[in-house]
Amino acid sequence: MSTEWLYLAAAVLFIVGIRDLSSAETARRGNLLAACGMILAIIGTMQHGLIVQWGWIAVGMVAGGVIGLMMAVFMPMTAMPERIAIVNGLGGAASGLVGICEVIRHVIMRPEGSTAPEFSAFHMGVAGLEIMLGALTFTGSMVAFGKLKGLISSKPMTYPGQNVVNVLWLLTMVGLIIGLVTGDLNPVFFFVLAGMALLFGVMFVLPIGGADMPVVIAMLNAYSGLAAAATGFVLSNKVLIIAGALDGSSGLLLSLLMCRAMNRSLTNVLFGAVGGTTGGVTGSDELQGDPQSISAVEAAERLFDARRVIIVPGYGMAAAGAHFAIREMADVLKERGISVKYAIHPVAGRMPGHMNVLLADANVPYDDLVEMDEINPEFPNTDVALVMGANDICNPAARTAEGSPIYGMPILDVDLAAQVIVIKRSMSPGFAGIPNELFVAPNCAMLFGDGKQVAEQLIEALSL
Amino acid sequence: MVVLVLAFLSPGLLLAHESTPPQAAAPEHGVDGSELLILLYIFVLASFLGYQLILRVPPLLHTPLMSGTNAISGISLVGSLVAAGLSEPLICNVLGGVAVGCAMCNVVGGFAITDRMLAKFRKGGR
Amino acid sequence: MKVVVPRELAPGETRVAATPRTVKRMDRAGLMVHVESGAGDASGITDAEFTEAGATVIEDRAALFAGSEIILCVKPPGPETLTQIPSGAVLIAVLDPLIEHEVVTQLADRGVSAFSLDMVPRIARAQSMDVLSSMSTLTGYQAVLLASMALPGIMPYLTTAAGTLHPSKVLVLGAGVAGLQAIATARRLGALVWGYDIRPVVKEQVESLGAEFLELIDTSDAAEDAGGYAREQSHDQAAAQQRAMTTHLAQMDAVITTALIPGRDAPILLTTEMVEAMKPGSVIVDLAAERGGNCELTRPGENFTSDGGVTILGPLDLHCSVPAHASLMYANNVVNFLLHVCRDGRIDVESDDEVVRGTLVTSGGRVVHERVLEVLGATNS
Repeated sequence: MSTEWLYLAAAVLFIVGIRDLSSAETARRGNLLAACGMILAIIGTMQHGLIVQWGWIAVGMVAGGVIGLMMAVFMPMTAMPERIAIVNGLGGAASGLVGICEVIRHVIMRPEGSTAPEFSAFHMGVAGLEIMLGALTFTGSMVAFGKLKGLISSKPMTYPGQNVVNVLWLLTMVGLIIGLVTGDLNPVFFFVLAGMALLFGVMFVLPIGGADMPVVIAMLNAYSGLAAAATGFVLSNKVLIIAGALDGSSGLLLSLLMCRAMNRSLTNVLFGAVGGTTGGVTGSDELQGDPQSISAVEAAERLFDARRVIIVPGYGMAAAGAHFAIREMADVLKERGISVKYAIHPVAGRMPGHMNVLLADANVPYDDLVEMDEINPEFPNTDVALVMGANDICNPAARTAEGSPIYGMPILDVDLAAQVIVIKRSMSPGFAGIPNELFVAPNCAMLFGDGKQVAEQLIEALSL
Repeated sequence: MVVLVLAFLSPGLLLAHESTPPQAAAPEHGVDGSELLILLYIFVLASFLGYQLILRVPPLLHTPLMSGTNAISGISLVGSLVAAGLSEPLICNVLGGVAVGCAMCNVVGGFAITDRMLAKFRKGGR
Repeated sequence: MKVVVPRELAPGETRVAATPRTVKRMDRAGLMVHVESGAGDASGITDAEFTEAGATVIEDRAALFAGSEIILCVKPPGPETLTQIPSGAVLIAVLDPLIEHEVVTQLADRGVSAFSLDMVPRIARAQSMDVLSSMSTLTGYQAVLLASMALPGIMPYLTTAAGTLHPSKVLVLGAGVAGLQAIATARRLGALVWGYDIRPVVKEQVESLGAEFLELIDTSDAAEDAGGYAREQSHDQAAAQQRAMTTHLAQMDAVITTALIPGRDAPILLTTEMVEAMKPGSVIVDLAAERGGNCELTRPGENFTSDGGVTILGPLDLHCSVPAHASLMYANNVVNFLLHVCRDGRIDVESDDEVVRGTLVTSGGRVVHERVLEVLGATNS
């Protein structure tokens, strides 16, 4: 019975943990509480009647724990989405394997006299779900990892009719489950289902562009939660169900929220690439590669570690009315001993002196504004260049692309900074109407959103 | 999306009424109609709870939240432990052991990554 | 090559086509700069400063022009000066060639290769040579200062023990470079500012400076041409616009108009009736005065008060009232242009370069610029 009480405590800790994760002051504590909940759940499971041998458990836990810890500690912070993708995939794999194990135990090996009781029709169903969700989460997450890391092309891979094929594939898998439930299909079809699901994970994620991966990962996270919940139904384990359901629904809602913050609909992100109707983020075909997109949290971290920051304002900052927020953000950075300057390009904005007027209005000291010829030599020594709504004035095409409308125009050498963060609403082109090569440079990350709101988020993150 | 999830469950709901009578000797699979119903209640309530908890998350915290809930999905560790620790069959132990390794990665890695992400915030400020 | 910078003789012209900084740049490029004595006086630059920068200062105009290969001016040389310029020399100035036909013909007859900087194409890399932008920046700013001095009250909102001073309301018509700068300056002075332009794309730009865009009726079809300039409206469009505008005008304290059409007379934005609807004590600053004015009542070069008590200012060459910065910007435009077209010590007038083709008006004894030829042909036929 103590197992059940420990499970209850674990469930409470998960709930409180997630609640705390939603608020900036309590976020770290929330993570800790959830981890404690997990420990309680593990202890509770250890007392389970069915566990009799510890060898495999020990090996698995040590190996997994060490690898997990090393991944968290040694992979660079800029590779965060990749790490989340991998560990999520592994979680899905675990669910899938458990499902297969249960099927073997309760169904396939039965005639040979296994001691396990027979599976009811319900069990067949949820086992099928578990295997399907676990498998597709595993491969889907691996593909997401590949796209983020550049191992797989981050461009959406599409072919005509792809969405139809995917839907049919999904329906076939559901049909298999139903068949297994009614007993019409031989249990060996569980393995067929597993195979189809593994493929489906790949098919589902391939047509989504690299810049949308964070949303995909959030969804796959939800699916791995649902897989865990399905496992809970198979094993009649309440903590699995609760944790899995919490994870599943919060993950799905999170994907929706992330899409909204990017100003796109979920269906557009998941299915939009097929037929060439990409909505904006991955829409630029002429660029070699896909832009990397980060969140305000990640941007704040990069700013934390910087010693020298240059802000590059452009017309976007003016249109968003973000100059006050930018100045506040600069103040916060300065309080931490970071040097902040503003690089003012001669034709930034839509009138001469556009930036000067606004920044003066926001009380930025004149000394902080530096003109192009003076500030260009400093970019190579700069840790972070924060581009706020500027486009053509930092497009490297101006240096080399003869025939480009901006060829020959002197630009700010933003690409020479160690890291570049571009704050922009979308990938739409600037005044000259051409794509900007800076956005797909390896040292550049895009932070999509409204300039003023993003600046305010950064202030919040930096002030914690 | 909640609708989709419920749709998946409906076959299960229908089948619950057809499920076989309880197997008394199997404490871990005591699925009779009422127990199943309780599990379903728990699932539905937990789903709505998860939804509500996330409604007011500021965009700033999207990524840490994703990372944290990802770690929680490593709860599949619980099922893996059982599979790995069974007396027999061996194939289950092996698969279970691998599953334990995977799930541990998810759990340990997930919580550690989230903590690293959030640690910077405390160290920084005023 | 011998580069010559004469003193500007046109009455009221205070600018000079070079500054010590630009002289240094030309010097480094291997050009020999000769400046007429006293050329920089009106802009506050002494002969000594020019000499220190590497130029040779010459007193006698004939000696200045003898053997000159490149001549940098603000306004084109008059007929007398023209006789002193060697045939085959290159002239860089602001010619206003679509209007000043006589000047163009004289230059052609003299065999001078003339570049006109007000014809610089509006492409990204030529922005540093754009004279119209530079001067408009200054006139837009100055217009607001003129308006503020002519107003019977102050611009900002003040609540004091001696009563509350309500902010002035300023309307800027035309949101090009001059208009936007006027909006920004009026905002800095604390006024309530509205901006209006027939190009709807400009709405965001106006709002980005903290002003409101005046919504009249929808005249959005092709209001902007390929060069980014506003197209002339049809009669009906103009009439409807005027009617809608009048109600707003009645509330304004100051109206600044900046609408110009390249090579044509300025469009009339304020009719006599519209001015009569404005309140006594209000001010109109017409920056299009030199092209006839945006207001029917404008007297170019004069300031006066209408019967209804509206003060109408029609300043000419407003940039000349800030000669230090006007010369600084103009000289920079000139040297940026010069160093762009001058390669290996010579200027290739046959070059395909977009900037050269866009600005070269005369060469080899005849007019070569397409648009200028069109206009000349039209007036001759």
